[in-house]
Amino acid sequence: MFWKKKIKDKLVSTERAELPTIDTGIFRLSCAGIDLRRAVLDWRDKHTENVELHLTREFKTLCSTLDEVIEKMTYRELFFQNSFGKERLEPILKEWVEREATSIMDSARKDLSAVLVHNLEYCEHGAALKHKEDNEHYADAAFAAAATGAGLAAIPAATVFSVASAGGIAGIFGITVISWPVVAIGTAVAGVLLMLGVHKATNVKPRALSRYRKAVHKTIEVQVLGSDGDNESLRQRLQSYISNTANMLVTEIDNGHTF
Amino acid sequence: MAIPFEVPAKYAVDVVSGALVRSGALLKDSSSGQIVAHLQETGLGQRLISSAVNSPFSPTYALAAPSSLAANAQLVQLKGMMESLQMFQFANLAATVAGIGVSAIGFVMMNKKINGLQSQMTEFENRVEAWFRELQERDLRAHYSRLHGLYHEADQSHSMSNPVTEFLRIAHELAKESAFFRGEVAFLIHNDIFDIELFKVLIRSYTLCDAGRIECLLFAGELLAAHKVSKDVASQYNTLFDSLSPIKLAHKSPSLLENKEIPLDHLLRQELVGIHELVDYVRDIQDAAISKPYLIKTLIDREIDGYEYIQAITSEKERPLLLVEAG
Repeated sequence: MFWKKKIKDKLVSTERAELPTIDTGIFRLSCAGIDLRRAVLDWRDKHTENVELHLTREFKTLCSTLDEVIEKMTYRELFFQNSFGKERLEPILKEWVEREATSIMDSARKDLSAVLVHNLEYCEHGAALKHKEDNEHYADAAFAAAATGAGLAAIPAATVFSVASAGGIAGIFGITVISWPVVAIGTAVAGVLLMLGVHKATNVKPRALSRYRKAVHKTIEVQVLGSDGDNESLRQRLQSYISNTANMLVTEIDNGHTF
Repeated sequence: MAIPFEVPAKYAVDVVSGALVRSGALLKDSSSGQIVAHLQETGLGQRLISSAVNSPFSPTYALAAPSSLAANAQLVQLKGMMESLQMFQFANLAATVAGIGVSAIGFVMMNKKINGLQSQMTEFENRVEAWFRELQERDLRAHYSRLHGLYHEADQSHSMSNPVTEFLRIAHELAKESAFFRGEVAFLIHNDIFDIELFKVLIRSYTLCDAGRIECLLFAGELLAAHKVSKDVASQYNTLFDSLSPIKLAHKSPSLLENKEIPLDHLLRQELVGIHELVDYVRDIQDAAISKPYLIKTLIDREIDGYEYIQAITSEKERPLLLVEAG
């Protein structure tokens, strides 16, 4: 085309201009961080999803276990639900939370280690071959990621502990799941019914148990799977931990952080 | 000067053996991490995929389908190249305007795609009535009309005696349209309801603007500016899309919010299938965007004329995919 000469002229000026160093944001790291970046995001997505699906699935098992215990409640225990909850249900819940959170975070930690080890091996080869431009930054990113990831070794215990001590799990049975008046009325009615006949009275306890069971399910569901803004559920806490870890890693990868 | 294009076959053996790995639109030495070549779609590749694919989000399915497609020798050739370079899934990008390397789609084809996107938008009108009210339907139509006009003008610029100024003006206008669609994509991502089909249309409109901007700058010979824009685009994509999380999006899907009778975890798993595909696609867009500045830097380092480069890839008739050796 006859106007191409002008474009050529422009390119001549382009040649003289100094190409800005690729030194900001995502390009500080060089192209080598592309894979690591995506691997970290994929890791985050996979495990935040796993938190949700795993807890939702296992929550049913938890409810069944608690139901079995609730089913054996005596009239006396129905009157003293608070201590029943603390003594009988809370240990089951704590054990469940600890087991499931550990399992979830163990799996996340192992996966992240695999991602980082893979990238560390990659950059070791690179360092040996001294391909400066692509590998120094890559190594920085991987080491930065690994150094941050080292803290993950403590995830299960720390997470479980913080969940259990946050007032969330321990505090569940601190409230009266079924209010006293309701139970008192129910019991008063039961007393009347007892006078009328044992057969009818036996229906009162199942109803009370049913109400208690539902209340326990509802309370625990909020604590384990809830998305209430006020109190962070176990699900939200684990997902936040994974997301925050990934965000920190991606930021370090983008900035080509060095230690 | 001759553009140092290479054919995919040159690298296929090393990719299969693992000596080379694909990372975004880059081929890298697996032991050193050094860039060996840049993947670059061609006009032929674009046409083949566009003609083969019904849904722009499932070209890999179309390519994998044997049937009548196999009769098309060029398509079979493309499929072979994709497989040999282990980029079958990445081929999704070629079907849209995000592009593998610099977009080889051409302004005329971009305009056709805008038509398609606009008509899809109209279909959504009933489904996302509330969203459309907020967006102000008329305003959206105006943006599509403006894009139409800009791509027409870009195509006509080729016949001008001095099109550089025109290409720069159009790039500038496309930057504004890109900002508009970025805002809409961000709005949808942070909205309480996430409509996956609407998101697909918006994200394609958004990437279409950016692909056009970079193409205009290359045509104008402003390679430094194209390099800077491609870097900024990559950063913006990361800022916007990093937060996309399949599980969060699934929770915001209309069917999940409306359907209270089916168990939540069942619905979640159902929704996640489509959302995984979408997020993978978005991650591919991000990878391609991060790769693009490296390609443009190679063009600058090797003193390749932007206009000649675009002309070469759009007019390629035999090979759907080419590679540019790194400098």
